[in-house]
Amino acid sequence: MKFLFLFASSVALAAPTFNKDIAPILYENCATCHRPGEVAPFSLLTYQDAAKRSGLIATVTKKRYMPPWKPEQGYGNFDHVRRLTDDQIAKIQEWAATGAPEGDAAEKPAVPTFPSGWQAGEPDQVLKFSEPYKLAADGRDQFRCFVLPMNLAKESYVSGAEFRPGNPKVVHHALIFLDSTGTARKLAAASGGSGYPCFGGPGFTGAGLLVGWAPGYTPLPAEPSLSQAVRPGTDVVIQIHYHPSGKPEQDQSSIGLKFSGPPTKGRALLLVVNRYLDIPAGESHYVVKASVTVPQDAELWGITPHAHYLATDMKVNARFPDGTVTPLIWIKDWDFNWQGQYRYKEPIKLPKGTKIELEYVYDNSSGNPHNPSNPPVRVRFGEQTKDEMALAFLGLVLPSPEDVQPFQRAVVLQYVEDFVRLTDNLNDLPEEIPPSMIPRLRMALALFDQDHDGKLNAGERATLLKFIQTMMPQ
Amino acid sequence: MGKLFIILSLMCGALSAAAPPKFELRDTNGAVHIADEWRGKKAVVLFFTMTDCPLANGYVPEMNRLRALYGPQGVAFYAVQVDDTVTDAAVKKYAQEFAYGFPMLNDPRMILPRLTGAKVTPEVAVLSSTGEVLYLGRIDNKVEDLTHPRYAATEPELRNALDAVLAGKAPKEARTRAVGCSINLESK
Repeated sequence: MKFLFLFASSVALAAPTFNKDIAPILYENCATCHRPGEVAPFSLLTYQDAAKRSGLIATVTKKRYMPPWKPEQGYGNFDHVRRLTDDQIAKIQEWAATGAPEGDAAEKPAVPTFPSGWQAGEPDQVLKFSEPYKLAADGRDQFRCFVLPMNLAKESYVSGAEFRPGNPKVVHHALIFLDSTGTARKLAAASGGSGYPCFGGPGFTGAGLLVGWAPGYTPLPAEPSLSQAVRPGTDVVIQIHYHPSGKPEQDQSSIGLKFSGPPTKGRALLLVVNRYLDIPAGESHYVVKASVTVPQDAELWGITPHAHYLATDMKVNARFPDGTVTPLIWIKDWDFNWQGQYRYKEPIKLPKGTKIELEYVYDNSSGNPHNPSNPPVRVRFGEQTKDEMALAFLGLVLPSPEDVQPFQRAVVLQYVEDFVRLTDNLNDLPEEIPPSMIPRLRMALALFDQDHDGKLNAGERATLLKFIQTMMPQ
Repeated sequence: MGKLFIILSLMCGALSAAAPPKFELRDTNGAVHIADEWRGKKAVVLFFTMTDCPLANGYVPEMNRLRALYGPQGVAFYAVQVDDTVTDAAVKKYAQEFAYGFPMLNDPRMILPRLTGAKVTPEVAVLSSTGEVLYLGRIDNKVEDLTHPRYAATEPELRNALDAVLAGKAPKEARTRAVGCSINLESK
């Protein structure tokens, strides 16, 4: 009995305290968002803030729901990882279970300070919504695209972009595109203003993804060697996922742009996509695969996997020409609400011939709480909430800007090959194929459609595939 | 036998109370509320909330809709603010900002959580006019699992409970598991 008592008291003495053990964890991993005025719903800077939530903190960290970091450890070595160690999680558990003690004030670390304003340096141009966007108190999450004209007088080079949410209470995440086609403007005008509803994508083809933002995202400094050419008439299109807060809100977000001279390296966004998925209603394990071969030596800087609500498990691997395989990312528990752009600590060299292989799993059963359809329905590829997607954007860097065009051309040929191999409707060309190429491609396809029925039969398809393969770079 | 009865009644607490529970709580407009005002009501809904719990805040519009729907049918609605670390002024401002359509009682001593057994926000209790807990739990099943919320709720459990009570029946599910921000019963 005495022994037990002694044992109990020694455990109590060793129990973690806020000041000594918990504050350092919270300040390092949570405070970027959990501080006054930031995106998280409550602050975690003071003992009182944290003690009040000790149970919730223990629950969400144990389930690794917080901090929101989806990639599995060991599958891609990423920068700015927000992931607690098992030891940190255990400490939080013990702290909450022992009544969340405050501890010795002398052991408390200094409350972290954060730079205010633009995090990646003062921008050269700031574009802001012309008027606040009004969001209702509740209802479904909203996805809206805002069109912000750059008003460029001459061709310019964007080397950096930083998004700032106007109202962090409701801005859940944002993707920023460049539109040089004028389509977004027209969509906005048709919606009667400077924006339009857009769930899956911004609604125009050839969209250049400039930057993304999600809670906790660390903006990158400008990268003049990888600047993007932007011609006059180009608009910045900001797609925002809004999550209603329970009261009417307003948001006026902005983006800061940095300009520089022309790039010295090539920048290519490699899209790995399968748009022919067709998930039966009720299917709980539907596997989608896609692959693209890197047509010339490149460096992989970052990756953005994307799907909608039904995806559960997402893997992207690189299969090198020598047959070895390196995982680029694995997300075991995909959550549409916490999609991110992930940047590698060190760029990964992808020699010519490296095959990027995507394998995603979807659960279209009623057992998947994220399923937007109840009861489940057949799901195909599309931009709407109840459609699905299976894609990953890979941010590649090529040795020189001159490499970009041949690189893109070789990749497009692969898309055409996939298209010919997987579908037979020539009128349904996928949007990865640049609009400028479509008239010629249609002509070419029509040549191979020898019986002129708008479809390719097996023989026609085989001839065309053989022809495409002769066009592939050797 | 007598002993067993005492133990049972202790265990059930408010469940078996025949008379309204005793409390006096002030709302954000300064008015004092006591359980006697529940007399004649067909049911009483307590919505446990706090100023900075996002899950609870997201349900305020739904609670206002329920108040508009069930209020005229003889159901009284109260929000119960259970965070003892915020000032009265902040609670008042919060109630106005979120446009609560029913009184918000400030309960820093956790009288109503103790009476009903509520553990988190958002959580709702449906009481009889004498304080018997007829339903305790979530408003609907959107967030059964905090880390995997449903795309949309499939069971409106509070509505189901109120419909049963108004029809003179016991709710089919008297208890559901609410998920959210813990109510700190050991108020400091």
